[in-house]
Amino acid sequence: MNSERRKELLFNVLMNGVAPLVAIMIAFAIGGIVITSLGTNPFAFFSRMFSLNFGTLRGVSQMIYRATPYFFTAMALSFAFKAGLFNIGAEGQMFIGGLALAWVGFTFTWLPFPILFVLCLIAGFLGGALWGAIPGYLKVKRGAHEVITTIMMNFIAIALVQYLVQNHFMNPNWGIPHTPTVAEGAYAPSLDKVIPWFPAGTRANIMFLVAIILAGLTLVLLDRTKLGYEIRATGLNPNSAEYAGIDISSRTVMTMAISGGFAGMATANFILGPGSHYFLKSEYGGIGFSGIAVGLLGRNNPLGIILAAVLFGFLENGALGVQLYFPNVPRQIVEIMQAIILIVLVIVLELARKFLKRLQKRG
Amino acid sequence: MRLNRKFLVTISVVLSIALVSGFVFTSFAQDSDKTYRIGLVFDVGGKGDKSFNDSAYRGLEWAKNGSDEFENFEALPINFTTIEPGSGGAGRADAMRMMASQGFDLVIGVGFLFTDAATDLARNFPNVNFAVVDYAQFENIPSNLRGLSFAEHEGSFLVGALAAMKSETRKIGFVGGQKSPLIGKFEAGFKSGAWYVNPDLEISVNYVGTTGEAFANPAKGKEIAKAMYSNDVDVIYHAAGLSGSGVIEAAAETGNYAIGVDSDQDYMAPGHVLTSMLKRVDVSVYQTIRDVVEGDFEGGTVKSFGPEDNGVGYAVDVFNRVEEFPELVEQLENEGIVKLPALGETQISPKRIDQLPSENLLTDSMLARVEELKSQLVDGEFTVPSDPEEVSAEEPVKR
Repeated sequence: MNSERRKELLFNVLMNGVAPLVAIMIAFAIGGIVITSLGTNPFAFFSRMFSLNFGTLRGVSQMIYRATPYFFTAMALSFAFKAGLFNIGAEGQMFIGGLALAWVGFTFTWLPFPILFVLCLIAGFLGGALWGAIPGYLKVKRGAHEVITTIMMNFIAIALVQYLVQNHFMNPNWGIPHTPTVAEGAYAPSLDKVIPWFPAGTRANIMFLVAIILAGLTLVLLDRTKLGYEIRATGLNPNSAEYAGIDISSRTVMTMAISGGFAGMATANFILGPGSHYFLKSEYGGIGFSGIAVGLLGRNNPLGIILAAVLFGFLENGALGVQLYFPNVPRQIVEIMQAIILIVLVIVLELARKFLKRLQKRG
Repeated sequence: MRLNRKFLVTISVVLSIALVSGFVFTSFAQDSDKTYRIGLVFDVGGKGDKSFNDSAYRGLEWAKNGSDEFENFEALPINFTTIEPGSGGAGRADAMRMMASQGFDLVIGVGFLFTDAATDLARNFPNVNFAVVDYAQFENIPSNLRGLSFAEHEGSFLVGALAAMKSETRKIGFVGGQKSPLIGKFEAGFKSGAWYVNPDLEISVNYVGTTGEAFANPAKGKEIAKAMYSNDVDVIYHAAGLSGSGVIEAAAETGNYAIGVDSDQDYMAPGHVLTSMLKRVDVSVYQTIRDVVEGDFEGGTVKSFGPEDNGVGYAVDVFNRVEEFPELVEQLENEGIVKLPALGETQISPKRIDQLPSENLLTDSMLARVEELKSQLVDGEFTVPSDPEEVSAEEPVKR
């Protein structure tokens, strides 16, 4: 029993701690080599990136602002993963949820804060949940694999929101295809209103706190409730879960709905947080897909995902600022690093798994 | 002692004069030696898009080094910095803010999506000048912000005239992207130019669709163009974004002519693209920088660039003037790469180089005629309508 526990600890440390860190370090090393080959000192580059993010509180809040939406789309991947499902449709679920929450925000304009704000979040959740539940239903009733259906639902979502915005919500005189602005009751207060040491006028907003609360709630749901147990059991072994009397069909649909609901709230950071306060599709492209990388890097653990999202926020925010100081390094260096993190992580995880297996065989 | 004091007084007077004049001199010198800091934030697509972003970047390079295309575009005392906001575009406002808070003299956003962000920032940074290419707002523009727009209908007038001169079947066509007032400007100008040259022309008009997707559907663009060509149309002008590449393909397949739009698209099907209507973002960016350097920058308005300042025009290059540029033809055949005036270094596949025509598509007499029309337009002898409803074969232009 004791050695069992020690093995489990080793497994956890290796797979969830060491592997992601190694992947990140290798990505920085390879990024550094590319930067050197462009004739720039990589240490100067990365230290500038570091100071842009951590040098001032404004930098920190910018980083948080950019990190927040990744948490939601990453959770969409990871929550489904708990039930053994691959939700690749966070992008589409994010768009549908985003339009839904904006619609509530600019329709029920008379409602005060925080009622309208909360209603917007619920609308975003439900919009994403609907878009996530459809592939879940198709899997249960028709046996359609969710990877295929969620990917295809992305395209439908993109076309649908574009159609709705351009033909129903947009004023043709605006020139830019966006919805009307949400009412003040829906605004997400900036972080300085809640935590006084953040700089005034920061764009980081309470959606980051919402993310942290949701991470905690998800942990409780998965570890401490019957539903969570059933979801995990379905993921670990659907056959024995069914044998144990768990209704796998309803759990599959429900998992996909909650998963999509997470993605549906991703754009609240931009729409309800300080900024333009309207839904503009072209502002959010790619956040759903990047969520896949963030979820994997966070090892499908809500707390890990917060850290991984902050890392992506660090890279995105840094990539913007460093261009002022290192004009010959293209911003795509960051995308290269994000990709390397992912590739190396998969390799390192596989190596760690083999290593652990050999350890187990030995006794 | 006395001498000494006199000496001291003289010395101190001389010194103070020197000091004051030196101070005046240096402060003068500082003023005229000022290096202006220009910042530019790219649109989605970024550098290397062979379109608006590259064109805007060329404007920056002209400001720094002078232009090899326009002799009067001299090098200016500037330094420039660019930022690519990255996918998703959430970085647009942040990038502009970063430059504004560092005290840049001018911050330029490429593309209409910058409209709201720049308007907001201009109010918060009253000492920084802003400019937005294709600015999409017409009221309450802050006084330190200049919108840059283009007289697309006048550029379309010029290529419409060229289409009319080229057509042998007396039937030409227009393919628009999304049916909207903006694309209507292209249609109106094209018809106006064509009927001004030849009122007997038959002009077919069709649009790819009614949503933004209509700019990204080459298959539909090709289908529409093929239908027109099979109906004896022999020149089609497109204002349809990516869908237009389908129009150009159809022209090459049926052996007819297409006319490109926005940037120089003549290379896309050598011998089958008569010319392209050019929207010179580079010219607008350069001129805006020059206005800032020379103290002539005026904000609070949308400045329209037209044929008079080369803000719009038509492409003349090795592809439609083979006989004029034999050395470029040779370079193309040997190296597969050529530098085009409004496009920069362009690589062409060998298959397309083989299709280079042997004669000029735009003849000398066509060029002379269209230049004459251009100077009439610039002199204000007539105006080109921007609404297609106002154009007819009987009254193609307004006098």
